[in-house]
Amino acid sequence: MTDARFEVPVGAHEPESSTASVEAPGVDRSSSIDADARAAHLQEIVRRFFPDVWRFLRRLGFPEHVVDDAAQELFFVALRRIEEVKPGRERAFLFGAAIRIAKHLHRRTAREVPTESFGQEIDTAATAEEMLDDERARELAYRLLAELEENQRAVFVLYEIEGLTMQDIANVLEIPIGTVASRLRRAREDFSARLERHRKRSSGAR
Amino acid sequence: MKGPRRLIHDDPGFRRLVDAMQKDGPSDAQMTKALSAAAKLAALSPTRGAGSWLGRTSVQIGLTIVAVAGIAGVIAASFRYDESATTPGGPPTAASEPPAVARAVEPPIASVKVDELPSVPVPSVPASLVPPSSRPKGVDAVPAEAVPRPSAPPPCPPDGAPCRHAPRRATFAEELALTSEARAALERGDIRSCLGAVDRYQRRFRGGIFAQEIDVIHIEALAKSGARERAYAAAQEFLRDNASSPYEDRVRSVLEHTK
Repeated sequence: MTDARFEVPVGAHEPESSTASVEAPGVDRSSSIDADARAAHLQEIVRRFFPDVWRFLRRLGFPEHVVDDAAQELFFVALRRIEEVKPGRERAFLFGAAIRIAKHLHRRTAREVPTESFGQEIDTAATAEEMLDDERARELAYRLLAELEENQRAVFVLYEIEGLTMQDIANVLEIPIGTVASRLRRAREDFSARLERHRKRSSGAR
Repeated sequence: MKGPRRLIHDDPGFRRLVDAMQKDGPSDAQMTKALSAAAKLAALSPTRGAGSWLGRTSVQIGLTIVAVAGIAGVIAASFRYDESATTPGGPPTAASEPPAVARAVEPPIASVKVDELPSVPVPSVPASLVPPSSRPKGVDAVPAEAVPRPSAPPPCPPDGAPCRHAPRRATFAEELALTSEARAALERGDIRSCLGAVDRYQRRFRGGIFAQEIDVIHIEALAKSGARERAYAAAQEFLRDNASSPYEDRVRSVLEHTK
């Protein structure tokens, strides 16, 4: 894995900038802090973002055991570069890196999106709104996400669940914003149709 | 380009799914593993400088010094050459060939960019920290012997003053071992051993790498042991001191159950 893959840190709330350039403010702070402060900073990054990144990888469609490896690998590599990222941009940087790791893992293991691992049959006795059982709701959510086409799923998750702007997503995925818009539109249509079908099945079963 | 209104605002069913997913997350052990990696990485060496401002600036300064020295050498050599060339009896053929130093230095001075330089070597990392899936790749997997061995730290002050050296690598293995011991004891319901490990950690590594984890384990152990009032007070204190902690939900859960 080359570090160049992580040179695409993008601001989650700074649409104007597309990369963390050499001149980006904040990159000099790591040079002046002592070892203790640096250790504390890295641990703070892990505490703040590890759960987010773990969930994000899960939403991309990877089963838990793959997510564990991917998240550890991501932080292991990305932490080397995190101090180069402007404060406030770490999350988008890590998401961008996470997507690369996930794709790499996907290629390496030739693993198909594991729709079947989320269960073939979802209990349709209740609508999603009525499910009190978080586990079952999660199972449904992961299955619906996994059924999206891979490129659309990444855009959908980043926009609808992680709350990034379209410009952020374009920067993270390194694709034109028009492509983001078209993938998002198709993903929303697909996801909504699947969720609606689930609701109809659920209401029909009652 | 402004995006469409997000589904979460329009579809309560979708919001329910997102809320459920939000409650999913890494286990304590996974979090500890990630924190361990961060601690070891911090202990090894500063981040690679190729991408950092200081790193790049340092390289630029270095290149400038080399370039200036090279130019100075060329100029000095030229002067010496000119002097020798004009000196009666000097070597008559030297004027037709530039000095060797000049040939070697001239081309790269103006064209070398920092981005074109090879990457700064990545810090060595223990193989044990690399996830199993990434170990065979070779690039990041480094023999454990490459990791600097910790040295014994000075003891913490007995008067309760902050132990500043606690997060250093010297104590890392002990901190991790105590944290793991406390968690394992809590999971098997051995509250006495759990609280013992928590107490040892807090006495030796106050403000250490796993201080938050230890605090949470302590709170949960108190709650499990029936010391509800103490658990409640400790949970409140934790939330006051760590408002945005990833353990917030867990501690709030304890708070709810110990009211």
